[in-house]
Amino acid sequence: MQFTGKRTIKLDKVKTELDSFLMDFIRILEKHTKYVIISGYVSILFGRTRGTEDIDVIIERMDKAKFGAMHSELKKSGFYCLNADELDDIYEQLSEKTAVRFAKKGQVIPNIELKFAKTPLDNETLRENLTVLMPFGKLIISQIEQQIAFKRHVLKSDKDLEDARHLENVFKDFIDKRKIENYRKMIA
Amino acid sequence: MKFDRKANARERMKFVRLWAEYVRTHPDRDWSGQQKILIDSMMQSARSWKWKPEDYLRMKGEI
Repeated sequence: MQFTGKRTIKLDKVKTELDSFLMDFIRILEKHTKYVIISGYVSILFGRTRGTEDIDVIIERMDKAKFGAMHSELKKSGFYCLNADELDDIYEQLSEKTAVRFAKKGQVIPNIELKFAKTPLDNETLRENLTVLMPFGKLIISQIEQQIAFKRHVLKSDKDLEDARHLENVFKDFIDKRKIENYRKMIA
Repeated sequence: MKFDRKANARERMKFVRLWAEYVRTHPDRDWSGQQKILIDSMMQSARSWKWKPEDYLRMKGEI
C-alpha cells in the first residue's frame, strides 16, 4: 500500500467475499449520497486477520424521497433491511434511532450498519476522509488517526485495542500522532 | 487449569504486532491472499446460519 496523495491510498489487495459484499452495496450508495466507512472494516481492509459481522457506514442525512430512491435500488439488487420492510419505518428508524442494517436476502451476516451523520464528529468524519484505490474499485474510509483514537479511547475492548495497534503499526511511517491526540480530545 | 485472560491478551497483542509488521513489509497481494482464506471461510460459515433478522437484532440488543 502507498499514499499517492495526502488523502489517497493505493492498495493492491486481493478481493475477499466481504469486500464483494461491501462493494455491491457501496456502488449503489455512492450514486445517492456521500458516505464514509468506519470502524472494524477499516482495520480489516488493511490486513487485520479477523472477520466481522457488520460494516459501519455513515451517510449524509437525506430526505425521505431521496432515501426512498436509494432503498428501491438496494432492494432491486438483492438487499433488504433487517429492521423493517416499509420505507416509512426504515426512514423513521434511521432518523430517530442510531442505525439500520442491510444484508443480502436470506442472510443476516454480513450486514451494513447504516447511520445518518448526526453529530459534529460524524460530519467531520464524512468531510475528512481517505480514498482507497484498489484493483476492484474505490472506497471512502475515515482517517486512520481517527480510527486509532476512537478504538483506543472510546471502544476499548480487546478487539478494538488490537485494531488500533494494528493500524498504528501498519501506518507507522505515515501517522500524525498529534492528530490522534486531537481526535482523542474531540471524542472525550 | 485456570485461564489467564491477561496473558492471553498479551499473546494476542504480540501476534498483532508481528502480523502488522508482515503487512507493512510485504506486497499487498501476499498478505491479502492469506487474509482472504480466513475471511472467505468465515463468510461461508455465516451463510449457513439460518437466523431470523429479529433474532439477530434481539441478540444485538437493538429490539
